[in-house]
Amino acid sequence: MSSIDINIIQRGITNNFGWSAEQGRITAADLGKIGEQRTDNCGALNALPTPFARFFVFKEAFRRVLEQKLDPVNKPAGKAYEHLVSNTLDVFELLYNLKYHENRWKSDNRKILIKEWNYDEQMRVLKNDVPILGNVVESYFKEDLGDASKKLFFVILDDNGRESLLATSSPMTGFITPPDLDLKTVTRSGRKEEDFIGEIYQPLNTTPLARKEGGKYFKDILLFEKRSEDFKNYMYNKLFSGGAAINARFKELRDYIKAFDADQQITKNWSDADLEQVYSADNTPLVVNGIPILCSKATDVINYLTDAIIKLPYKIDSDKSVTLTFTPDNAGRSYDYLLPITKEGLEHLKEGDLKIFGKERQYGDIVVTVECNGKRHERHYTPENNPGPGKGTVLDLAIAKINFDIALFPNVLSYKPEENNYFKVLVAATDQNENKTFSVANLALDFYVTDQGGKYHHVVEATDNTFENGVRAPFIRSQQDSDNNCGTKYYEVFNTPFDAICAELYLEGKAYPFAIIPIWDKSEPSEKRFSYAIDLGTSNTYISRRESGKMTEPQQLKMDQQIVNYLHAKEESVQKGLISRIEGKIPEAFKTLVKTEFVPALIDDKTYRFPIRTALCVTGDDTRKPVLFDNSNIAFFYEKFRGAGNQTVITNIKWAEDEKNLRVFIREILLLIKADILQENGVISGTEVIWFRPLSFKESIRRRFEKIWQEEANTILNLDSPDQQLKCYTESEAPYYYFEKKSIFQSAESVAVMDIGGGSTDIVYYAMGKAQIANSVHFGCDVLWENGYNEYDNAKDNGIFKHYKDTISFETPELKELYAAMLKSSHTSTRDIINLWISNDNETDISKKLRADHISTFVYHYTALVYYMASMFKANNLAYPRTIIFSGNGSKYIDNYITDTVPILTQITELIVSKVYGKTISDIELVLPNERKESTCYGGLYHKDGAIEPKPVVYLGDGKNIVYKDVEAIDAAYSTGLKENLAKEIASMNSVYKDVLDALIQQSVIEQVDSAKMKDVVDSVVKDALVSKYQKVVLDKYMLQEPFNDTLFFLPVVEAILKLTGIFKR
Amino acid sequence: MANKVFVFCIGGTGLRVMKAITMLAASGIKTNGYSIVPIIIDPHIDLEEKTKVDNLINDYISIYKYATTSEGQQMNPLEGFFNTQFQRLAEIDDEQNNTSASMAERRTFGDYMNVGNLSNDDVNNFFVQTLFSKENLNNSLAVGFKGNPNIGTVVLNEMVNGADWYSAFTRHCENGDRVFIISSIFGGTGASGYPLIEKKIRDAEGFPNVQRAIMGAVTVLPYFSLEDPTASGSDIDSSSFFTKSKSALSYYENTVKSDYLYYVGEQTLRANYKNNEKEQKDDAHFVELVAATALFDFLSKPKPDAPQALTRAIYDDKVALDLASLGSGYKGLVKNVADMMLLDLLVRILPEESQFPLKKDRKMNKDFYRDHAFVELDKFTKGFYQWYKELADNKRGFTPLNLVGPGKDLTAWVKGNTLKGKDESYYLLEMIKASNKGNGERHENIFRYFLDFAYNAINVYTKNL
Repeated sequence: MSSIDINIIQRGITNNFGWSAEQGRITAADLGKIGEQRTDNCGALNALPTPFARFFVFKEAFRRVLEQKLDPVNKPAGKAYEHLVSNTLDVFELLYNLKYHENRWKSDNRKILIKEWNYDEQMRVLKNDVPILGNVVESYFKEDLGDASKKLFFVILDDNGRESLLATSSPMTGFITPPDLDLKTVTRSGRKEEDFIGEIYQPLNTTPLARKEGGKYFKDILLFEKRSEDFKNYMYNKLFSGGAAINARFKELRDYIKAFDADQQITKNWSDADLEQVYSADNTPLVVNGIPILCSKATDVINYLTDAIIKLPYKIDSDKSVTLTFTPDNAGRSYDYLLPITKEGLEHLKEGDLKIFGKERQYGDIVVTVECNGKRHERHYTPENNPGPGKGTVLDLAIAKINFDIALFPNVLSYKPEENNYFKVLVAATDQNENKTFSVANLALDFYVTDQGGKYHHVVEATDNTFENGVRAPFIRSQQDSDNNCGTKYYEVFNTPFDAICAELYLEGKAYPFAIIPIWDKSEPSEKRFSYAIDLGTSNTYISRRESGKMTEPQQLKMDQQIVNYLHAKEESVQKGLISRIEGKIPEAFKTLVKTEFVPALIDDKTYRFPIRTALCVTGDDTRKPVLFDNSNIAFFYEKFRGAGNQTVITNIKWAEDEKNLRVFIREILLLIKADILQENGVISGTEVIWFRPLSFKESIRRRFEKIWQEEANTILNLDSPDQQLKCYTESEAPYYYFEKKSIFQSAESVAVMDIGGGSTDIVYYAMGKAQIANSVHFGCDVLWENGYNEYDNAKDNGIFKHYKDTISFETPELKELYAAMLKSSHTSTRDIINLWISNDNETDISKKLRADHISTFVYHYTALVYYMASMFKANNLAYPRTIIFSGNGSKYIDNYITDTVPILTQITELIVSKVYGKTISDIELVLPNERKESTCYGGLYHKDGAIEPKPVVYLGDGKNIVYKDVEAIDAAYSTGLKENLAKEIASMNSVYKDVLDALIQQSVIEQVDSAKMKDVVDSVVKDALVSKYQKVVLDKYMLQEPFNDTLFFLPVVEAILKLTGIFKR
Repeated sequence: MANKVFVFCIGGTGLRVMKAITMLAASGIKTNGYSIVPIIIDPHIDLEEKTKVDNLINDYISIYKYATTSEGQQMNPLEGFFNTQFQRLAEIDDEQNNTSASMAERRTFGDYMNVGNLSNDDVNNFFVQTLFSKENLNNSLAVGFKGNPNIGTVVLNEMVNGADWYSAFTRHCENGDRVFIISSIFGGTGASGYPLIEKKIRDAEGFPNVQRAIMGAVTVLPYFSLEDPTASGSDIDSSSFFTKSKSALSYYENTVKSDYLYYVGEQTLRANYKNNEKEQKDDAHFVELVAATALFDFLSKPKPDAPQALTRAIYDDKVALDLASLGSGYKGLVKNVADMMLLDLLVRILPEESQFPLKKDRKMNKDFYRDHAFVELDKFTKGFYQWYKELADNKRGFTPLNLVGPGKDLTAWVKGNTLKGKDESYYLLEMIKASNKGNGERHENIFRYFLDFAYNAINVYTKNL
């Protein structure tokens, strides 16, 4: 007969469909037959009609999980019960590892407290203070928990004095956890996550209770089989080996533990020598229903692997950082994993004692194995949101649509510890999601250094200036916004090296720790010493290097090895240069900021080469306190490509009143030099540093430069003998020694070196190899591109600029963009723009245009300079120079825009000098060397020790060698003959200008120019200029008592040149 | 005086089973002479369902009184419809208050226990945290225990302690009286109330009649599901009903000790209700009907030698149950329901029946039909009709009857059976016969005659089911 029980269980009632007692009570044995939905909801488990329901629920949980173990297919326990079992096991394990945890938590001010609850004493309190609870507890306690449990223990987490209950002892399951420690599923940013029910436990989301073997106590479900071998043996052999002696109320827990009899890690002869009793705060042994709770004495077992591994969307440079060794590896792999090493793991590693392997599994899983101290530690990571017990998660940055890169400068360590005194670390981060939750602020780096024994120690942050070494507080330089695709942050480690970085990435309320272990280049002891000459010019800066004792041809500083390490790997190409391989793999979002804010990976002499523009890249509007890399750095990119929207480029560094930018510039130069020395295994402290100053430097400026060079060189290079190793020569005299060494001139009888710079020209006269006089004037080649006496930055009077501004364009996208930005900017001068045209002649064809259209202007500039030089020599009773050497970048207009035919140049030079000396001169040797500007720093490297410096002279340009005490004396003379004499000299010069033009016309160098008309043009300005410009340049700028070390000769010349720029062949 | 059975109806399920008991008692199921004293225990405030059941019992009591009182004289109970006396505890004991009123509680659970009285450093705070979540403590008691019997135990324990209604129960529980407890196992109130009341009764020192009372209980196991709580915002998730039940049954195994413990539930949850703890407007269900039969079964049994647990079955696992699929053991139940539904039919047609001889002979005239007694009966049978419709339409459905309106063929009234009464005229004729035959009673209670004759008339055609 068919029969369906009206019950939740079918037991086959057959009593003619009336009420029947034939099957009796539903027993525990029947319960297993009751079908139910898998329960993942902890809140569902309060179903018992007793205030002590929680205790029974845990008991039931063990029964159910045991059922599941025995019949996993048909008897799934559900996550809720699994979580309760896991929680109870967590309490046992937490206490078992109590010493280990408390040892780890010392610095965090975190500890475990065990408090007692004694029935008799506390019932009085309950009955008095909360009688409703007291009554019901009194009513149920004895029956539910029993007399044997009249003492309960609370396991409490004390976090900085804030106590939260983790567990309560239970006569049935050892311990139970409070309901607020149960989990609920929450959705954060579309992802389902487990979260604690009670607010009181929310802090454990950010500072979790990490299990010794990985994972989080009370958060990750970890059943017995997945727990550590030691803990399993402790539970199995020590706590529940007693069989019948174990109190029957522990049945479910005992049966569960004993069900692991066949577990391969359970060893019957397990030793318990390292265990000791756990005590309460009142010093009572923690004994639960007859079971003494013990803890391991071991404190040195380390949790090496993090709970999550970060998958990067690019490969890590395995030459420069320790990476996972993949077995097997996939040749086409385009991603990598950061080292999932914990801080405590690192602190227990020894430098070099780390082997870490990755094995990729299906579905994006990866198993990481660490071998250290002779032990293997393994962790399985999965991209699943809810990983299984013991498993960690994979945070895939590509999926999360975030990314970051790290760069480290310098990448080389000195064998002398004291020389490892400065490291800068760039962190760039981006969030490509529409709703951004991640920024560079969400990456935090901690630095570790190893001691002599190879043990890692934390380098703490220097919070004030009493720290002799440490890490400076990180500085966020750029934020990701509409201008920038990423943000950047800089760390500075000072006066200590570092050997590892433990970092944390914070994403949506979770911390993802990882480690970076840089592979440093290391310098080796040697006797190699180097000299570096730095010619820091108004426009360009040159650096040359020479190894002491070697007589190789000097050259601009260039490097073969990288000085910056990036986290990302280089492109694997044998056809590309190193810098392209490195920069080509910078993630796209970071390229602009990384290439503009940081040091180039190396100075390869192609992409990055000296000379560089003397320019600083500054981020933000506040430039009052420039700090290297934090907000300022050398603008290696200047005139190559456009910077970021939040950057400005400062070019007025050398002559600026404020020295701060100059100091930052010099600091970066010296750091580059230091990195170069280390890569060359040179002796840093033995380095010779040569810098140059213009003759026209005022004393105060000279002292300022000296101070900066001394301080920075000593700090960065720690020179052995600063007085001897730090040298300064005048810019004018240095080239001579290079050319002499190079023997590029025939006669040393009388040699003039004319160094034409952007803002000034220096002239030195040598007789028989000895410097005689030196003269410096504020008249360089920039007047050709500038706007006469118009002092506004954005003046646009220059005729050359006006001539071409509408017709010149660029093809290269970067230059096109840069040019458009410069035209738009109110800070960009005509000089900057014309220099951009000149720097990119291959696109603008400006040289050809200038030579064809504006040669008369350049000829006038040349005539004025040569006339002035000869006039100055004559006034100082010196014979005309047999050799005239042009140096300085500014002199390039001579051969570029007048003519590169030296005989023609010699002819016109002789014409000018003859006019000054009043006789026909035809034996001048004109030298226009290839190394025009480089000659200064090259000459610095070959400067003769003990050579006498030339005598500085001031020549006003009036044909006399009268020395005026101050401006007042000059002004007095100006109205009594000086002006007239000056006018005569200029008239004479203008006259010879016509002759020069005629000569060049005759030589077919110039066509279609009316020399007489041009003379009229230059003559036309003289009268006014000698009055108005004298007032403006001399009287308005100088105090009467100030000395005047310049010349008045060029007052009308500057004005005339501006006029000439507006005259060109149409 | 007859012996009493104190029926503790705990929580929402208790209410609905009590409703079924009342309906079945009205239909004529016998209680072996026990009068029923319903004690409704539910802390919900303003629960409409509770009011309705209270009103239904009041209606029953009124009808019973109309049928058993004549000219101020108490008469014997009827044989058929409304043969069982219902008594209010308040009637028995003038001193006690309504159980519901004394349980009205609007505070949160934490405030109710006054846990704020514990100082911050009191270790008992950890004790409280061990037992209850913060959410538990913040729950308002006005809507019950939200499926948390551990809370219910605390609250009900306090509510029962020293409550005058409970005191009245202990004082008025006499030798031979019985106790029956109705509760669900998968909710909050019922699940906590049953073991607690049982424990209280067994621990009622000084009241040997209470301690010795034969005790029965029906534990209603899951039989319906609720809408997804994530959609309704409710705290109650019916997917956990079986889990909770298993957990509780495991606990019951060693704790509850009733003489007769009746289990009733469903192996598959077919009914799906709105997830509204405050209203609980759920249709009557077959399981509640079966649970109600447990009381009548209990009252028919002597004290057992040892506690017994009882279950009932049906013949065929149909979604809509008729007598065939129910099984033969349900014949009595089906007959009673069929009888009551026929009574409803008669109640509907008779006021309009102008040619009915009893109109004159027994004064069953317009005045009678307008009298309180008949109006109460009309109201009650309408309620019964509605209740049956709910039972029939629910899942699984209790639908053994083919309901037809006045003037239709009544032979197929009970599915699978052919009644000889072809239409209502057959029944009216049998009423006339019964009137003519008489049952030896002579009184002036027309209403009593009406019920008596109607029952006899209907029984003629349904007694052989």
